[in-house]
Amino acid sequence: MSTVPFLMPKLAMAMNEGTVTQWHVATGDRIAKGQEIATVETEKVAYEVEAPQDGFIRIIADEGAVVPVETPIAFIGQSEADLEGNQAKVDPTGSVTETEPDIVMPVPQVDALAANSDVGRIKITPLAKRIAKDAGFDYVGVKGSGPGGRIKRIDIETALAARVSAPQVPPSADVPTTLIPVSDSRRFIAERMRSSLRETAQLSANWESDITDLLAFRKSLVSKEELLGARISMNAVLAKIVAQAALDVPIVNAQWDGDNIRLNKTVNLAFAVAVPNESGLDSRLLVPVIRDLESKGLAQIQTELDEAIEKARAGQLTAAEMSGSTITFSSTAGLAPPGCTNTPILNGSNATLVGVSTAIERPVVKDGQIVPRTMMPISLTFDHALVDGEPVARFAHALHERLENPALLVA
Amino acid sequence: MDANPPVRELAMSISNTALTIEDRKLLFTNLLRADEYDRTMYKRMMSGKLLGFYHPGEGAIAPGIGAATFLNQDDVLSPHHRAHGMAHALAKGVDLKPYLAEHTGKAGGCSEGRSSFHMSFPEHKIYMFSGFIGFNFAPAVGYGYAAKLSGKGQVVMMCSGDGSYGQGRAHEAMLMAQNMKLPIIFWCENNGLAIHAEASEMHPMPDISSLADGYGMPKRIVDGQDVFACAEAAREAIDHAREGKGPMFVECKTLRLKEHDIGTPDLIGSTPRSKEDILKQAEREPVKLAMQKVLADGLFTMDEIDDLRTAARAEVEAAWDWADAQPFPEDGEAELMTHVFAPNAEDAA
Amino acid sequence: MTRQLPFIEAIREALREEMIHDDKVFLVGQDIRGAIYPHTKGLVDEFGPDRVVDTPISESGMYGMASGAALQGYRPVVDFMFGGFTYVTFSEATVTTGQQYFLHGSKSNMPLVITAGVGAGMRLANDHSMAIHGTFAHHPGIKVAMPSTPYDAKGMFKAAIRDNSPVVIPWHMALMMDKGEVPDEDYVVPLGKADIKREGADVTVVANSQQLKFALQVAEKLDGEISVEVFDPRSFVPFDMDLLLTSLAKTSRLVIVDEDWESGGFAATLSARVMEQGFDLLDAPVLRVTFPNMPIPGGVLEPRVMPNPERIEAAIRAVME
Repeated sequence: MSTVPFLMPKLAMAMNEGTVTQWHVATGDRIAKGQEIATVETEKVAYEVEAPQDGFIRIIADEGAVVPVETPIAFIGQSEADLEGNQAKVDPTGSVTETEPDIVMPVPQVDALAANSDVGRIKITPLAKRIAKDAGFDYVGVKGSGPGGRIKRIDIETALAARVSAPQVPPSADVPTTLIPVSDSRRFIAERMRSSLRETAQLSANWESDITDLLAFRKSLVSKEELLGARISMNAVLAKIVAQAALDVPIVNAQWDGDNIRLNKTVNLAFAVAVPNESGLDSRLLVPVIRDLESKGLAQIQTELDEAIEKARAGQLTAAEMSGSTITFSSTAGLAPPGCTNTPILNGSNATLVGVSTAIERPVVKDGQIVPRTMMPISLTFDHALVDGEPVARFAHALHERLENPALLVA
Repeated sequence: MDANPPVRELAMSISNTALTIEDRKLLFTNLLRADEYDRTMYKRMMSGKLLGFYHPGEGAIAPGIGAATFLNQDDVLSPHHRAHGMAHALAKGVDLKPYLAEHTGKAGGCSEGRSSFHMSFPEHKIYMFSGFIGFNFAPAVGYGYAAKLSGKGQVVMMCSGDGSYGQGRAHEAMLMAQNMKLPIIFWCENNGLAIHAEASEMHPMPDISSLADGYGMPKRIVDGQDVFACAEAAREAIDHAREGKGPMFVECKTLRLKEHDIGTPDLIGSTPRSKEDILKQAEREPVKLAMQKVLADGLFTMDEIDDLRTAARAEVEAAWDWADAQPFPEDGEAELMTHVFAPNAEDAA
Repeated sequence: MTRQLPFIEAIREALREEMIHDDKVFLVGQDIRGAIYPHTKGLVDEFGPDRVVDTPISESGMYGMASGAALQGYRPVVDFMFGGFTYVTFSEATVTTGQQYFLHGSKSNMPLVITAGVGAGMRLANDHSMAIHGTFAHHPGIKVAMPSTPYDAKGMFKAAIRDNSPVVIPWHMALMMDKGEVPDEDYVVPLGKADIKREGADVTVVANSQQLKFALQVAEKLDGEISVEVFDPRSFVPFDMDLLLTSLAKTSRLVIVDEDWESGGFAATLSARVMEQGFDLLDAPVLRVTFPNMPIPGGVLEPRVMPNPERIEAAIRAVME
């Protein structure tokens, strides 16, 4: 074999297709093994891909084309002449058309009944696939009930029935519209949100905590910015408090783990960051993870937060940086109206999500007197399948106490 | 006589085929023991205490005793399936306990309880069994060839019945043995029946041994009911082979007093064997004949014979007690799969 | 009119009726005059020793007798007693037989029938228990079938004897005394036609002979929980793929039970064909229930490794997952 195909790699979880956002080389270039030759984007993550071997490259996937994983995006030949025979090109619709298949394509592995296949490959039975195809139904994101998450006929049929009950009204011709192409990340987030609601018994508790003292505390830290080496934000303080409260009631910092419930001994906090999308009309939600929060000081937490947000905005967060969370924190403070409460959706396999929003000035009874206090609305969502109301109430109580008593930060 | 039979030691047989008094006593003792094993096996099969099937040897055990009593430890023995080769094996010095265990599927069985009836004692140079009649002619050529190559004077005692000489490979084996002067004794125990088929109908000549003529192979015909005659003929053939003179064909004219195997009707062709015929044949039952001889020759008294019989019975009982006390194997499929192939050196790593 | 007849008796009726019907039919084997198994009982008395022939234990010679006579216009039934014994004359029974018609310009055929007892479960170890249908199905030019019921036995043996090609039709010894309805009148069960022995909707289980009995037991047990369609191929060559695909279109799941070794058995062939021809019908991978690749043990070990109702049920559940 004098030419080898270079395939769209399967990178992050649930990746079915990717896009070459940028080629760093051009057709005919000589490339060296290990050289970074392209940037490939999956649902939310961008990767630099390296050449697997020395040779000459012939590009077949255009920048921006959406290519299914494990199909060729380029060919690498040992000589320039080797590349002449490969006429295959990826056209803008994303399908590979091959006019002269003179190399052997690797045959995709057929999974056995075992469930130990790579994460990211969709397993679906031939029958289910055909039913989906006949119905014009995109089965990406359908949760399979078969072994190893294989999608079976029943799963497609269920999904089709669900779709029917929520009919999509096609836009009529005289309504002015703008079309935004659905990005990989939008698709991914949509599936995450839907599956979160499908697979958990989540509900939200809402209350208000008095953060007047906490705000003062934070302000005093801000005045020590030079000493601390970081400008402590409310988010860092809130994150730390959430972590401490979580360790007070470990069951909220837990996950399903097969036949067990895994109580995590550290708190890896997923921190929701909303980043505007290219179009500016849509946004994408990223959730970087700050690890071992309970053992980190506020300055360090702030530094890591800053880094994470910057990376999120630049689209440079890695899959590793967005995984492994044990609890989630989300803030709409400053954006939403004061006192806004909501019912945030749980993130991934976390049992708990703490949401906060814009604080509101309220008259509050304190020591028999009515005084104005700054009250922050908390919206706490938890998965009742995993954790019951009583421990959650204790967690809420712990959180509430810590929010209202900043001294507890150092206790 | 203790429960463990004496193990045959490596010894060169004497050129003189004449049987000494000790030889004759040993033959008689072996005959009694084989008789006890055979009868007990039959009883156990009838009472559902045996796995697989059983081919009773009543009336037919003398040739096996004669064939194997004077074999050396390193001579190769391929027993006849009559009485499942127990007469042949015990005569060669094999402790039959593991065979009994095998026949009841036990873990201490000579084939690890895997076969129901396959005898295997490689330390006694008994290698295999098979349900395919005449299977043993093929490897016999190999045993003989290996014996010739190693030059240690080993012989191959290849025992089978009249029916087995219908097999093409019997003829191929005789051809190759004679051509290459292999030290193989073609020991044919002709009881006149192969299940229901009469030898007289299945073979054109009255003597199976006449086949040997076609190969220029020396032959002997002996009275298969006379254990002593069988032993003498065996000795002569063994010496002939051991001296490098090539194969010999020994045909023992013997009988089968019971059905071919328990559960198969005892017919000749399609007619039941007549009870009268069987009774008449029983007059030449080998133990009976041997007893007459040893009494007449003053080798044993009646009391001594009774003692020997008692001891034989006790030996068999003790052997079955041992076999019955063995556990069943625990092997499941996974464990069994590891025994499909023999390990190579690299597998041990 | 029908009557209840034991399986082995149904075979006997087929042999007898075909011998009456066509005097070119003769039987050859060992101990068939005395009927070591009941399917040849009394036939020598009715038809004489020239048509019910006992030979020496010469498998090649005996088979040669049949194959040569078959080329000369006779229709012999060669009875090997135990399936494994066919291997003693392997090249004649598979290679020479299978190629006769094809390689000689379609001018002379060999209308013979090979039969023998097969089947595991009696603790007789490998030699007396091994299956042969897979091996013979592998060699082109030979038809292979096995009946699972007395009705099928009589009809299929007749079809085999009347067939102008060589047919290997072993019979499972565990079924020997099983009774079933057999019509009085002459009938033939054509080779190459399968039979749905029990209708179902959730999974198709292909099973034959003793395994068919087990499959039916499992289907009955699972009734109400899983609806099992039990498919008896009856013939392996030719195989009724149409009926199987029809069944799969209904159930979309397949378990193939084969009382033979996993490696290179008929189940493997069928599995591949279903994948090729019925890929889009499948809502789960095809599962096989077979012997592991070890010589069939005797002793107490045989039941631990042979296909049985528990293993069939486990496969059905796995495929439903």
